[in-house]
Amino acid sequence: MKLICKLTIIFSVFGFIWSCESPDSLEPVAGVEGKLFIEGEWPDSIQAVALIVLNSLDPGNLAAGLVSYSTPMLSPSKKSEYFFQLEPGFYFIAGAGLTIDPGIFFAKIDSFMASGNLPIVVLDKTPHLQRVIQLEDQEVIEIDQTILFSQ
Amino acid sequence: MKIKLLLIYLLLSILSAQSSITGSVTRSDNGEPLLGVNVLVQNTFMGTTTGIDGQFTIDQLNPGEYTLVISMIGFKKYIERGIIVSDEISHIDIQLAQDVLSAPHVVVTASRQAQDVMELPVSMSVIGPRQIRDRAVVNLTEAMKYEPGVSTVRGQLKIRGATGYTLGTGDRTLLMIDGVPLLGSGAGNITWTMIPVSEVDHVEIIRSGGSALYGSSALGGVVNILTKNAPAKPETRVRLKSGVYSEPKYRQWEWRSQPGLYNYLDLTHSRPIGNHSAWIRFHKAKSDGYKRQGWLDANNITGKVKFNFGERYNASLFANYYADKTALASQWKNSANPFSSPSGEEDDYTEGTKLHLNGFFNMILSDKTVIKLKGSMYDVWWQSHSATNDNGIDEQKGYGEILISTTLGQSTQITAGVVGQTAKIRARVYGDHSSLSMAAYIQAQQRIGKKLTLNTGARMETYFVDDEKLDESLAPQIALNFRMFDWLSFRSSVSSGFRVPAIAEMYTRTQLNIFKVEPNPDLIAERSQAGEVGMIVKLPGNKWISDMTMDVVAFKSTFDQLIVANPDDKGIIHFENLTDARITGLEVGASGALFNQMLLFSIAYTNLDPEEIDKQGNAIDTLAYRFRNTLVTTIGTRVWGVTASIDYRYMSRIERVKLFQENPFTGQDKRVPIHIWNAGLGSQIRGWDLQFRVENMFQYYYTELERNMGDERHFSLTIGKVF
Repeated sequence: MKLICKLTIIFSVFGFIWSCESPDSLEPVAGVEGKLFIEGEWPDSIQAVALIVLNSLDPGNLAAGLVSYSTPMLSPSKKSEYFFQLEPGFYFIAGAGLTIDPGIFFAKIDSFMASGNLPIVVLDKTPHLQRVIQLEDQEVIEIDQTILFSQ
Repeated sequence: MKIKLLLIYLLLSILSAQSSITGSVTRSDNGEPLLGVNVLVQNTFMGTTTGIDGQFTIDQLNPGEYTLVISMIGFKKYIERGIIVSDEISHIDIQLAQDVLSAPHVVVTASRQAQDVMELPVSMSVIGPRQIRDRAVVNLTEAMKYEPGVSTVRGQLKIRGATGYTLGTGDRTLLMIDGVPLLGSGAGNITWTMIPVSEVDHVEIIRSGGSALYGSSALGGVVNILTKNAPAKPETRVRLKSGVYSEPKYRQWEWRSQPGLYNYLDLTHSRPIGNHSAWIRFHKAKSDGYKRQGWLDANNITGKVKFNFGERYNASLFANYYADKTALASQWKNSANPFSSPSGEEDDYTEGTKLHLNGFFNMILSDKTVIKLKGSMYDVWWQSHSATNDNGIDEQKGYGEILISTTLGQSTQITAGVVGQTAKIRARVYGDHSSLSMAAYIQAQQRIGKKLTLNTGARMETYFVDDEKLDESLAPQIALNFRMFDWLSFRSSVSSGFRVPAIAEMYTRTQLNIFKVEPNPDLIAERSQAGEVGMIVKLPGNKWISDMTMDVVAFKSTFDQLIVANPDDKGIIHFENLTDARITGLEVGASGALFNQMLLFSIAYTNLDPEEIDKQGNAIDTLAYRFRNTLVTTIGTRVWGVTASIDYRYMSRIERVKLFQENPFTGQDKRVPIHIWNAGLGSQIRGWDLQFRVENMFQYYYTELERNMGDERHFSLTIGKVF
């Protein structure tokens, strides 16, 4: 009887634990990753280059569609890696040049977003940079990008 | 003349009336003498420990009736009541029975002297050898985070939320080995991996903040690691812990073709040498880690010699040399590759050596007065090898302390001391600097009747950096213990504390991933005021519920000018006296045995309300890197000589961080609560101790610090034997 009691308690505890779920655990994410290359000489007006992700492309109001951005590549770098974590859905991805110091840009991004006036220019000389992507759940798409500055 | 003669007669009468209790303590199972048993005279400050032959003597007792409390870790506490002390010497022989459940009954850290845990004026946790052995611990933080009020963020210990995450600098917890501080002087951080865990007797954690006895850095609590003394007979101990990390649960996160392994080897020999005793330990650690930049390769030699020069003098010398190479990682590659490193940082590592010497010399001037001299030396060399950022540190620290402890009558104990500490540091990221601190402290412990103990004390400390006086602080404390019954006591304390800024916080200039860190030499000391009210209940119980202990405490701490690593509007981090803070909380701890000791349990719950406040005391925001709720539980059983245990650890989601905020549109930098389950099985087969453990058995994934994945599931087998 004592043995049965011990075993019942032990297996009950194990059973309870195995039945416990951990719903909050981190899981694989969806996103876009790749390498970003720069060809040509950096123009003086551009202090850094980043890739931006938008859920709508309105050249007159980029802030309205901005979802995410990559860690900026500083002049005169030629190559970097990037990754965007994104929820599943449709996105535009484009190369953008920062016209102010990137440290200040990211420190004050909330106020830039609120004003709707981002100090960036879409690098439209390389139209192939503007891509439309569709992401499924937990899918990571690999895209290498090259930005061409004027020689 | 007649009056003088009368006074001399009275004095001689008093002295001649004082008497002694002598005795011996042996093991009940084999009759061997027990060394180091605590023998306290209840309701007085008189007490001693047994010598190598198990004998003890307590002198200068006034005639009367006394109760002796005899205790040692791993043995049942023994209480001998009704000892009549008269003109003749009273002698008692005591046998102690082993008790695997037994936690230490006597501690030394709270008031720098041996003290019954039921008479402590402040909140304290004690981790005994059973908790360390059953969890096959190789890093003490693994055992400490099961105590109420204690948690870690990326290895940085936090007690009652006093420390958040401070980029590895400026711990607000003081670490001591055998009562002597062990801190890096430059960064003020704790190197947990150099603690000789297999030779730890027990760990005492003061959870009440305050600097009255231990000075700067103790404002968030004190961890005192008490190392073992050599046993009465020569013995050699070997322990090997080998394990394997699981592959990630998700195919997308796989990053290596072979499973990661780890091995930890301890080899110790200890023996008596005449009246003295010594042990020496070699430790080798080699781990592949659970992530790309998680590997470790370390060697450690530690030794301790305990000298006994007759009854009145004893000394101890402890030496620890640690050399390691460790992967250097700041964050994961990205959230799609959380076990990989950023490109270009895959081969970054640090190498370093640390030499720590400490020792003390005790002079027992009389049965009531002891002088203790303490000293330590700490030498650190450290170099990083990084594709992006090479750092290096070379620092030396010296520490000296003179302590005198005396008992006035049988109800007042005075402890006073002076401390000096000096450090020199040469570092690429800090430059060349020196520091000097000098302190004096005094504490009085007064018994008021048989139930009340009053502690009052204060510490004055002056701190210099580069020969310039940086700060001067006075930290008073008052604490009260009311032992209503043998099984119930209440405590309350109010104390103040301070922490001078670490040199790293004042002078660091470096690049930390995408963040730049710049110096701030204008930092001043941060200060705290802490108060608490608590109670402890210890019930012997019956065959259904036994060894029941419950500890409940409510506390409140306020911090002025807290030093915080803060990014400015250009993304540049400075350490700043940024904020005032208030942390209120509740801790509940309970442990015991059920059903004739078939089931053992412990539970610890902590609730914190960590707030940034303005000068008027209004809450502004939540303090960063704090867990609001923490729950840790352990259930264990012993059946057919096999021990089994299950641990569960819950920490609520960290509400605020400093570096990478959650992005609600992309899900980036998501923070989650932490649910960790661990399990262990242990047995002894033909003299070999075996422990099988699995940590994080359900492969729960979480981050304690942004962009740093927590431990992956790992399995281990530990085998050990005493020869």
